Amino acid sequence: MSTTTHNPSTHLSSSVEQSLSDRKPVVGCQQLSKVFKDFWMRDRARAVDKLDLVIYEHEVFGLLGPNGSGKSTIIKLILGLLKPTSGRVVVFGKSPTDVAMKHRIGYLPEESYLYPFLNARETLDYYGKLFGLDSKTRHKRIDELLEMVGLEHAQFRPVREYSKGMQRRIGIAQALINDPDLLILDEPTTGLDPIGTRQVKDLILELGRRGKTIILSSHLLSDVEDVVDRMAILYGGKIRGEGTCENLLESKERTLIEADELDEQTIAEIDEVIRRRTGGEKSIRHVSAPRQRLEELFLGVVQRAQEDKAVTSGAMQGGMTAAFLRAEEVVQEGHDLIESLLKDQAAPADASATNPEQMQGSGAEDVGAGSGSAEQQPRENEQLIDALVNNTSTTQDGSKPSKKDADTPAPDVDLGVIGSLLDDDAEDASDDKESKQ
Amino acid sequence: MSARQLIVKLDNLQRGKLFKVIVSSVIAIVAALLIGYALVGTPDADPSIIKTINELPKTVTNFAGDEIENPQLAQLQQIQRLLNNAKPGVLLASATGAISIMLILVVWMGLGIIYPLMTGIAVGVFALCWGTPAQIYGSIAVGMIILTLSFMVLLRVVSLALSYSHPICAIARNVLAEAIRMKISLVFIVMLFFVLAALPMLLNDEQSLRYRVQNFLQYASGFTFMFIALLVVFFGAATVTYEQREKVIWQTMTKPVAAWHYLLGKWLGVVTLSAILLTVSATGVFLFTEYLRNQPAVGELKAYQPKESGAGITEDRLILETQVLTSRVSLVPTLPFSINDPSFDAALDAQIERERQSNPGYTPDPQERAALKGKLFQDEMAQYLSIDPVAEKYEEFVFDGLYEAKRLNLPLTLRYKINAEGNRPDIFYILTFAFDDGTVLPPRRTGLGFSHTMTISPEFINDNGQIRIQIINGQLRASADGNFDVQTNINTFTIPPDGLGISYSVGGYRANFLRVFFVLWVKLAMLAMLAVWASTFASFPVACLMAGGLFFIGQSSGFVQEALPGWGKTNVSGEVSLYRTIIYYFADWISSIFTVYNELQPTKRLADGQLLSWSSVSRGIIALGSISFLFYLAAVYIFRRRQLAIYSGQ
Repeated sequence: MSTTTHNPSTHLSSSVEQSLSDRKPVVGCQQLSKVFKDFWMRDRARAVDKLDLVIYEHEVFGLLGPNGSGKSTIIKLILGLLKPTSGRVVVFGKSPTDVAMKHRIGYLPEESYLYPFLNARETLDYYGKLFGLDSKTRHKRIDELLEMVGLEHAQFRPVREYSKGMQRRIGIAQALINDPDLLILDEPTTGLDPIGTRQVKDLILELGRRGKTIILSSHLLSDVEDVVDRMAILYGGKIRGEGTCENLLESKERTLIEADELDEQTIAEIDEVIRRRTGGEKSIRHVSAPRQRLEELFLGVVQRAQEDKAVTSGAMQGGMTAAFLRAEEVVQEGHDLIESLLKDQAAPADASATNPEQMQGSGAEDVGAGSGSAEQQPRENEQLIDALVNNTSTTQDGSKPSKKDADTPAPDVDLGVIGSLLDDDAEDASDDKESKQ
Repeated sequence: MSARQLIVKLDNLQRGKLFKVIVSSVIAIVAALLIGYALVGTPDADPSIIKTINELPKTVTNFAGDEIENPQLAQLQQIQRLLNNAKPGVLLASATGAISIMLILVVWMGLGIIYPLMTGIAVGVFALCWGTPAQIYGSIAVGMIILTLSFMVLLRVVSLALSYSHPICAIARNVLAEAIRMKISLVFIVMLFFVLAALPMLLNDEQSLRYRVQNFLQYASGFTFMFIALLVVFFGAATVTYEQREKVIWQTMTKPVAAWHYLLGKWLGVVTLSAILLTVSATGVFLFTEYLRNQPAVGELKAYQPKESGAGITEDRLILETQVLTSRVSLVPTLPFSINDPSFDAALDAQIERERQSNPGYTPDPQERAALKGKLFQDEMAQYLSIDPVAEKYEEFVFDGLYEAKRLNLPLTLRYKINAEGNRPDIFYILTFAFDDGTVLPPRRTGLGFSHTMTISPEFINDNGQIRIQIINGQLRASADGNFDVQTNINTFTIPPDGLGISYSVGGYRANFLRVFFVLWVKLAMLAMLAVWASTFASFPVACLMAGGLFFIGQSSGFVQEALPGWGKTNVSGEVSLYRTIIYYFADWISSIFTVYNELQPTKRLADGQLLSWSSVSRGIIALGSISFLFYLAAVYIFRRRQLAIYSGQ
C-alpha cells in the first residue's frame, strides 16, 4: 500500500494497518524529484516533484495521470534508466542500478522497442539469455509465451513486419520471460485490439492473483479500474489522489439496482415505495434497458470469424496464460476474489461474448491452486461480500490481504517505511527467489 | 512425389546423424588422399641444380690471389632450398584442406541442401559465361558466391559458439545477426567480397610474376583491411548508437546486464565479425597467391621449370621467392654520424656566424635552428651516399645486427640501386664490392635507377655481427707497380636513401602471412573498441567521425610525426600561433600514442616479404591491447553515468 503526505484526506484503518505490517515493500521513493535540464543546465521541466511512494508486494498498483504527468518518468527512475535529481529510489532493497536485482523485474516500455532484424522467437530467446535461462527453460517458456500472445504462427517473421499490436504482444512476452516478481507495465494496452486488451487485463489479474507485484501506468482509465488494487493519480509530477478503486470511485449519493426486465407499472410502484419511505426526498432518477457492451459485441464477432477459419496474417487470439506463469502457488484469497469477480462478469453476458480459452486461462479451469468447486462458490462470494462490507481483509491465514481489498487507503509514508525497504537486504531478496523456485 | 516433398525428404535425410557421420567420413578420406598425393606425389625441384652444385668448385681465387668461397655456390644452394620448400602441391593441399573443413561444417550444420544448391548456381553461372565476353563477370560472380558461402559457414559456427546463455554472448551473437540483416554492414560485406573477387581480374598478365604477386598481396590485404576497418567504424558505432536512439536499449539494460557486459558484448560481436571476414578474405588471398605462385614466371615453361635447361631458376622466380614470398629481416647501413654529433652543432654555429656577417641581427629561434641543423644533416647524408670517381672512388657501408644470420649461416641478399646521369637506360656503371676480410667480388655491370640484388655469403659477417662493404665506383685492375688501381666510371653516382640494404630470409611467407593477418585483426579490435567508446557519449555521425579520425591518425602517425616539426607552431609571418600550437601538441600526442600501431605496418611487410616477428606481434598486442583496455574502462565509466532514457542524438 502506498501513501502520500500530500493527501490529507487519506486515513488509515486499523485493519489495513495490520495488513500492511505483514507485507514487504517492493518499491520505495522518498522525496523523489526529477528535473530535466537544457544544454545550459537550466531547469527545463520538473517531471517528478518530491514524490513519496511505497508499493508493496502482491499488489497491482496503478499510476494514472494525463500526458506529461510524470508516470513514465517515475517508472524509468525505478528502473534506473533515469537518475534522480534529488531523493532516492529503492527496489527490492537495492538501488535501481543494481544488476542482480533486475533478475526479478519485467518491464514493458510505453512503446515496443524491438530489434527489427530479429523474429519473435529470436527476440524472446535473446532476452531469455540476458537472464541466463538455460536452453530447455528458455525454449519451453518461449513456446508458451508465443502461444499466450497469439504469435505462434508468426514467430519466424521479422518483427519489423509486425503491426503495432503484434509488436506490443511480443513486448509483453519479453517482459514475462523471466517470470518476474515485479512487473512494470507502461501503457500496456496501447496499440492492442480489444481482444489483446482484454487478455492483458486478464493476465494482470492472474499474475496479481499469483502474488506478483505489478505497476501499471496508463491513461486509459477503464483499463486501470478493471485490474488495480490501488492507484495514484498524478499531475505535475505530484500525487494528487491515491487509494483503492472502491475508495476513490464510490458514490454515496446514489444506489444502482439491476433487475430482470420490469414493466412501467412495477417501476412506478418501486418509485412510489422509495418516495414514501424517504418522505418524498428521494426517487428513481433514471431507468434504462442496458445495452450489450461494444467489447462484448467485438469479441463475439471475432470469435465467430475464427470459428469460420477466416484467414489472417495478424495476431491470433491468444491462448492460455503461459504455463510457467500459472504453475506456482497462487495467493489463495486473491484467487477466490478474482474467480468470483470473473464469474460475476461472465454470467450475465452472452456465452459467445467471452472466449472460452480466456476463461480457462483466467480462472475457470485454473483450479489447481485451490479455487472453489461449484458447491463452494456461494460460500466464497458470501465471504467476499462480508469482507467488503465489514471493511476487513479476506485473509484466511493472515499472511496476505486480498485483491480488491475494500477501503484500504494508504498509510502515511514515513522514514520507517523507507527504512524497512532499505533494510530489505539481498538475503530477503534471495529468500523470496528461493521460495518461489 | 512432388518436388516439395522430395526437398523435405532430402532435408530430413541430411539432418540425420547417420548421414552426417557417413558424409563427413567420405569427405575426410577423400581429402586425406588428395592432400597426401599433393604433398608426396609432387616431384622435388629440378635435379640439374643438385648436379650443378656438386660440380661447382667450392672456392675461387679473387683478384688479390686469395681463395674465397665461390659466390655462385651460395646462390645455387639458396635456389635449391627455395625449390624444395616451394612444392607446387602445397596449393592443392591447402585448398583441399580448407574446402574439406568447410564441407564438413556445412554437413554438420544441416546446410546440406542450401550450399550444394548455391554451389550449383555458381558452377552454372561460370559455365554459361565460359568463353564469352562475360567470362570475367562469371568469374567475379563465382568468386563472390564462394566467399559468401565461406562467410556464412563461419558465421554459423561462431554463432553456435556464442550460444551460451550469458549476457555477453547473447549481445555478441545479436550483433552478428544484426550485421548480416542490416544494410549498413551488409553493404560493406558485399563490397569487400566483390573487390576480392574482382581483384585477380585486374592483374596484368604481361607483368612479371613477382610484380603480379606483390601487387595482389599489397592490394588484396590493403583493401581487405580498409573495408573491414570502415565496416568496424560504421557498424561498431551504429550498433550502439542506434539502440540508444531507437530505445531498444531500455529493454536490454533493464535486464540483469551490467554496463561492462553490454559494452564487452557489443565489442565482442564486432570483433568476431571482423575476425570472420578477415579469415575468409585471408583464406581467399592465400589460396590465390599460391595459385599465382604456381603460374609460370618470366622465362619459365611452367612453374619452377626454366625454358633454358640447367638454368636452375629464372630471375623472376628468384626474386619472387627471395624477396616477395618470404619473410626477410632487412637492414639498412648504420650511419657513421648522427644528427646529435657535436660536429653538426659546430657546423650550425659556423653557418649562423656566416649569415651574421651579412645580417648582423640574425638570431634564429630554436625551431629555425632545428630546421637548419636538419638541412646540414641531409647534406652530409647526400655526401655520404655519393661516390665520386676522383677524390673518393669508394665508400664503406656498415651493416650491424647480423649475429642471427651468422649463427644460422643464412645467405644474405644485398639490394642496391644507383642514380647517375639522369638514369639513362643505355648507360651502365661498373661497380665492385669488397669486404673487410679482403674479399673482392667480381665487378658488376649495373643499370641505373632500379634495384639490383645479389646473394652474398654469411662468411663475410665478422665476429661483431657486422658486414663492412666497400662499394667501389669502378673496377680494380693491376697497376704497373704491382698494386691495384681503380678504373673508375666517368661520373659520380648516388645511392638514394632507400637504395641500399641487406636482408636475409628467416622463413617462408606462410607463417608471416598468418602473423600479418593476426596483427590486422588486433588493429581492427582496437578500432572496434574506439567505435564502441565513442558511441557511449556521441551520436552515430559524431562517433563515426571520432573513431574514424583516430583510425586515420593511427594509420598516418608515422607521417604525422615526421611532418609535425616542419609544420611547426608558427604562422607564415613567423609568430607563434595559438591555433597551430594546440594542433601541434594534440597531433603530436595522439600520433605518439599510435606509434606502435603505425610501426607494425603489416600490409607493407607482407608485400615486401619482410618479417613480422612474433616479438613485434607481441609488442603490438600488448600496446594495442593496453590502449583498447583503457578505452574500454573509459567507455564503461561513461556508460554507467549515462541516463539511457535521455538521448540527444536524435
